Amino acid sequence: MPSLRELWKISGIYYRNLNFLTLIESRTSHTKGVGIEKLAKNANRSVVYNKIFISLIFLFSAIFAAMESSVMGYAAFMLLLMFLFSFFFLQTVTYFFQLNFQLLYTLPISPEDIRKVMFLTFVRIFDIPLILNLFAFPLAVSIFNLWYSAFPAFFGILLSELFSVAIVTSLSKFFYTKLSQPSGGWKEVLRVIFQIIWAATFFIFYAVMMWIRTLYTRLSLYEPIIEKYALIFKLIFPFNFSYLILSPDFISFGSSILFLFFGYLSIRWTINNISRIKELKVEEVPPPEKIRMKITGQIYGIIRKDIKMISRNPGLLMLVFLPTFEGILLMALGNSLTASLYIVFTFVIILTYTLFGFEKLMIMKLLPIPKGKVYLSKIFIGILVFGISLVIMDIYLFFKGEFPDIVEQLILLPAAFSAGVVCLYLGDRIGIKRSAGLSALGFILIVALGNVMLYLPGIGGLLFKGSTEQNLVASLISLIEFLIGVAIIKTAR
Amino acid sequence: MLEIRNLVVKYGNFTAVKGISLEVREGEIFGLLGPNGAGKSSTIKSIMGLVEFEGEIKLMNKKIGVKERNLIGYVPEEFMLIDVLTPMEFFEFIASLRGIKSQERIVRLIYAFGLEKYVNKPITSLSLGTKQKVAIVAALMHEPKLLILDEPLNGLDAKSSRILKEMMKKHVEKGGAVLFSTHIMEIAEKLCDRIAVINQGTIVAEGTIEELRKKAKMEGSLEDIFLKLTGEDEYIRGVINALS
Repeated sequence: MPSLRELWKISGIYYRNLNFLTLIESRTSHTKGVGIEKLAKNANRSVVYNKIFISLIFLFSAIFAAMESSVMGYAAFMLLLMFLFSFFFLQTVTYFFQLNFQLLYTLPISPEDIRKVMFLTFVRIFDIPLILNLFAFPLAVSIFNLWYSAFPAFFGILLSELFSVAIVTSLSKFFYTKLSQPSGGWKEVLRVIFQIIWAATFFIFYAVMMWIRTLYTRLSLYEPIIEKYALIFKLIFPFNFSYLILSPDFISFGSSILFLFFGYLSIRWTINNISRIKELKVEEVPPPEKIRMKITGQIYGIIRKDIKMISRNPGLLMLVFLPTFEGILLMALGNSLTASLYIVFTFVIILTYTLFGFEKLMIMKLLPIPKGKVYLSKIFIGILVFGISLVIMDIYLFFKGEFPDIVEQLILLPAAFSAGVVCLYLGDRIGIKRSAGLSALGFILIVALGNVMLYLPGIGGLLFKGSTEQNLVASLISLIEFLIGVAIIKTAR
Repeated sequence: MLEIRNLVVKYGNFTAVKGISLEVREGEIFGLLGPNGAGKSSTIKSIMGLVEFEGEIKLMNKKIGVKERNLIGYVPEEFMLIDVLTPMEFFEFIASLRGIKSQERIVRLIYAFGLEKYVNKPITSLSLGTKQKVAIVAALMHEPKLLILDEPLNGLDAKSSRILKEMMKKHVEKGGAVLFSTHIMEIAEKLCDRIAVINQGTIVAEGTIEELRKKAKMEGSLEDIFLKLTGEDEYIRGVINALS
């Protein structure tokens, strides 16, 4: 019978496998072939870095919350912890439910021990941030408050984490049965919505982190309302624990005990669900009465395939959202639309590289398609995402009461197309295998060149600022760049 | 139809294929036999341009370029499918890229391999055998001149295996050619017009079964000849003695 130490070791192997699976899935492109060993090696390292990152974020957040020393501040931290924890680990936990533990059943390990391995693997997902939070917040609270307030703070955080783990488990189990399943009609729409929510968790996490300090300040404005309805709030988690830390009384104590019982039930539910992992269930699809295929042209064929892949792969879908998200984020931080475009373009290039990685490794070598057509199909999607990002950024500006120059943006599109083609061409020549196939320096240089091409019409136009020739000069430069892009596509071998 | 001259494939310091030359003629099924790691798959991958190689590979007297790829149907040893798509979507994608105009042949192949029940399920959820069938249909849909099949019968049920073997025969009767690698000696013996035995990156023997028998200076099955030619018969005897 293996000891707990041995089971912990076995869970480590599954955890490494999970990290690798998560990394591969989030990279999304075809990963068979060169570089797989390096990816496997890097998988654990990048997960540890991510965990340290999130732990530090929570640590600072805990200090801010403890400094607030208010019912709202403490409750906000616990709520934030609960939701951020769920969001941050949602994707990994989703892949956890796809892990196959069947090999263990062929070894002399009891089913009970196998369930322990599953549980320990699950625990490993959360380990560092989970433990750090459990002690950081109580410690910070005891510094800014009475020393014994650390105890209710500890239980408040423990409960937040238990609820968070239950939330992430239920979401993952719910989502993983829905993701990657082709289906027609409204189910298709529903699935895409699920995918968007799944991918959006990353952005929500990122956005909250950006504005964490502002969030606390804003929330503290609601303190008087909480005081007014204190009796009700003392019954609700996590406010009951806030009261228990600051001004404990019988109501907040009783309510906290009740919620600790709920926490116990939730962890029991979680453990039961973890140890009942089954193979990916696929909905039964009846065979078609008559097979009708839609055979298209080469370029549209690739675009169609890419769109289907994007709609079924949260990692890819996230890459589609990133340009818009980053653009809006930069603008919200005070940058102009023009200044924010470089980041939009950079993420568009990452998307096209990722999509191209698959064809580069397989399709272009096995199927009779010229390189130029593959470039064109990828750039089409890239420019579509770039254009949509631009429109959304315009709408954002419009709501802020500013009016963007639409003509200037239309002039920019051919240049963006050409810049994309040049980046893809150079990346291909230097050797894209995946988005990470290029060296960081190579990628930076290529994207820098692409950005020069992107901004060139605008810079050219600026030389004639105020005159009627401004747009004409910009259009001319954009057109020349466009022709360069077309020439590359036509001659690419 | 297919000519390979002085093929060398290296993976870092390791040379997997050491100067192989062979020819696959029209109207023949050519078998590549060899133990694991002998260089069969590396040879096939070189033809498809999936690995870097030295030497010369020509299809119908031309280097294999974009156009020539449409003359080849390839079933790889490892699946090169797109897991998130359904077989139907995958076939549509491949057909679009191959410039196929009519769905008729594809639909016939789907029914022939019993894939109609699975066409709308995600490839990721299919069994190994069904995935193999998807790969085979994708390789056959454009009626290629040359079929390159790397261990094509892996995971196939008896019915599909039989259909594929019959299709290979019909294919060569119509003037096509088949190059296939297998480790199942009985199948190679029954199907192949000529065989090349590869061991440690070199061809140790090539010819019809009769020619191989002569070379090995022995009668018996292809398995016996194969073991003799690759020098593994002595090793096997030693292992069996040690085990018993």
